[in-house]
Amino acid sequence: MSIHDFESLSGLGRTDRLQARLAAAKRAFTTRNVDLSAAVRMVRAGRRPEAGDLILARVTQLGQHRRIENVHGRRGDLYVGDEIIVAYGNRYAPDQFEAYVPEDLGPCHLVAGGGVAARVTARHAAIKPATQIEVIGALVEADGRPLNLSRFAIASASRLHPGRVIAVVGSSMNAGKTTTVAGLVHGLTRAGFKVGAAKLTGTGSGGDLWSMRDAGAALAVDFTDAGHASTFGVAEEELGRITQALLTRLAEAEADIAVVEIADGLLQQETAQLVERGHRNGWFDGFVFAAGDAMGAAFGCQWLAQRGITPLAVSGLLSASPLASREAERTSGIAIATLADLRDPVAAARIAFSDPARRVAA
Amino acid sequence: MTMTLALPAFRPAGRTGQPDCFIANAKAGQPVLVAIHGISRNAAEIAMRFARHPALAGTTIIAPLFTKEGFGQYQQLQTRKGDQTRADTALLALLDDLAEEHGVDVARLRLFGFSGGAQMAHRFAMFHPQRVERLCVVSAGWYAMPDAALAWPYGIGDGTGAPLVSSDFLDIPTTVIVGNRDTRVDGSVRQDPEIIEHQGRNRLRRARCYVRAVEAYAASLGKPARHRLLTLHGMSHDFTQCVNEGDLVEIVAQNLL
Repeated sequence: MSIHDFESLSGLGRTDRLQARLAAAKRAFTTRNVDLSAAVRMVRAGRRPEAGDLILARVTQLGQHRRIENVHGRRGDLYVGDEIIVAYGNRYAPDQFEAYVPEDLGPCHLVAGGGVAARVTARHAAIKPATQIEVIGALVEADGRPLNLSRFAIASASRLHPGRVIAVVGSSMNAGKTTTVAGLVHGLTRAGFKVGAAKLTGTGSGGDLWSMRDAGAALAVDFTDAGHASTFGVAEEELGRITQALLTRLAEAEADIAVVEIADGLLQQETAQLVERGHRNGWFDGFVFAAGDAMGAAFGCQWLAQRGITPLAVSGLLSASPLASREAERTSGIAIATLADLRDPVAAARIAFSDPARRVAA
Repeated sequence: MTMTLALPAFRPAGRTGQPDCFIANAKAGQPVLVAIHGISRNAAEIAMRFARHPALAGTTIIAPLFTKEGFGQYQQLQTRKGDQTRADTALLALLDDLAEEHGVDVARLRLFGFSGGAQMAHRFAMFHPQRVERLCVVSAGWYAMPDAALAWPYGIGDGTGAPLVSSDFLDIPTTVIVGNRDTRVDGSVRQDPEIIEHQGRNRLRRARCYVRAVEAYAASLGKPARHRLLTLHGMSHDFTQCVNEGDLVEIVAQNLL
C-alpha cells in the first residue's frame, strides 16, 4: 500500500493509518529488531528525544548519504520526499560527521546510511553536507513511552563467554579493523572452528556485519542487537552490558571463538573505556591491533602496553606495505600479520591461541 | 551450552627440529594424549575439540604442528631436504621439552592421528612401540603394511626383505577407525600401484586390508590380535563431521584411556 492511496485509507483508525504509513516508509537497518506494530501513534512536538527513539522522518534535501540501508542490508536510493524510519543516535566519525541527538523534534540530519538521525556539529572537509530530514513524528507505544531500540535488545539472564575471544582494536576509523576482523574470521573458520563475530561499538550499519558473515562467521551481532543505534556517548557501564550481552549471544550459539571489533581508534573515549574495562574483567583473551600506518602502530602498541596489554599481532592497512610493516615491527616489537596471514587457517590459529608474550617479533 | 573446560594454547617450537604445538591441560600425573593432524594441519581444532570434551578433562592434550617446510613428508616419517627433521625425532624432542616445562609424563603416550596424522601415528608406533600405551588411527590414507617384502613406507621392509622394525607394535592396543562413507577417491588419496595392489583404492578398503594383514602377521608370530577395526556409520573423510555427528572424540577417549 502506498501512502498516496488516500482512498484506501479512509475509514481506518489512527493506529491502522499509522501502521499503513510505516509499512510504506523506507525502514532503516538500525530498526530491524523493532516490532513496529507496537507503535500506536506519533508525537510531533513537546518531547525531548533520546538516543534509540524511533522516528518517521521525511527527506528534505539530499547530501552525503544518498542511500539508506534497509533491514535486509540493501542500500536503496533516497529521494527528496521519501519517508524513512530511523533511530536517533550520536555519531563520532572523524572521517565524516560529529553529530548529536537533538534536544527537540525539529529538523536534523541523516548521519549514517544505516539509519541514524542526529544534528551535525562538525564534518570532515572532504565530506558533503549531511542529508537533511524533517521529523514527521516520534513513534510512541500504547503506554505513552517512546518506541526505543532498547526495548528490543537481546536479553539473557546468564552470562556466558565463548571459548576464546579476540578483540580487534585500531588506531583510527578506516585503519582496517573490519578487514582484519573478516580476515581472522575467515582463517579461523577454515581452521575448523565455529566462529562468532561481533561489533561492540560504533554506528549502526550492516556493512560490517555482512562482511563478518561473508567471511564465514556462523553468527554476527552488533550493538544494535543490544539496543543502540550508536555507542558514542554511551556510559561505560552500558558498554559493559552491551559487550556481555553480545558475548553471551555468541556463546549461546556455541561459537568456539569470537572475534569482536571495537570501533574507531584507541583515543576515542568509549573505545578506550571498553578496552580497559574488558581487559580488567578478562572479557578478551587477546587483542589484535589494526593500524593505518607505522606511527599509529607504534603509538597503539605503547598505549596498550601502558595498560598491560601485548597484542597478539599488528595488522590493518599498514600490513599491505612491506616497508611500513618493517617500520612498525621494528618499533613496536610485535609481529605483523598480513591479510593473507589472517586468512590462512594455520597462521590464524597460531595467532588466536598464542600467549601474547610469545608473539613478540624475533 | 559450552562447558568451561581447558583451552589449548599455542606453543611455538623451542628450537629448530621441533614442531610448534597446541597444548591443553598440561599437568603432571595424568595421561598424555598426542593428537596428530592431517594435511589440512588443523592441529588447533583437534586440540580444542579434545581439550573441551569432558571425557578428556583429566588428560594432557598435545597437538604438534608439522609444517611441510620443516618436516617434509611427515606422514611417512620421511624428509625431503637436508635441513628437515624426521617427524618422529621431532616429536620426541618436543615431548622431552614439554616434560621439562610442565612435568608431564611422556614416557608412555596415548596416540591419535587423523588422515595424514593417522599415517604418521601408526608408523611412529612401529618405530617407537615402547612409547605408545594405546593407539587410535583414524581415516588414514594408506598404511605401512606389516610385510617385510614391501619396502618402507609401503611396508615394513628395508628393501632387502628384512623388517625395519620389530614386531613389538603388534602388542599395542590399537583401534583403526574409518567412516563407512570414506570411499571417495580424490586427488588426496594416493593411487600408487604398490598401495592399490595390497590395500585397495579407497580409505575404507585400505583400513580393512590393514587390520586383516596385521591380524595375520600377529597370528604368524603367535601373538594375540590387539588391533581392531571400527567403522563410523555415515561418516566421510571430515574430522569436524566425525566429531560433531560421529562422536569421534568420545570413541577415541574410550579407546585410548
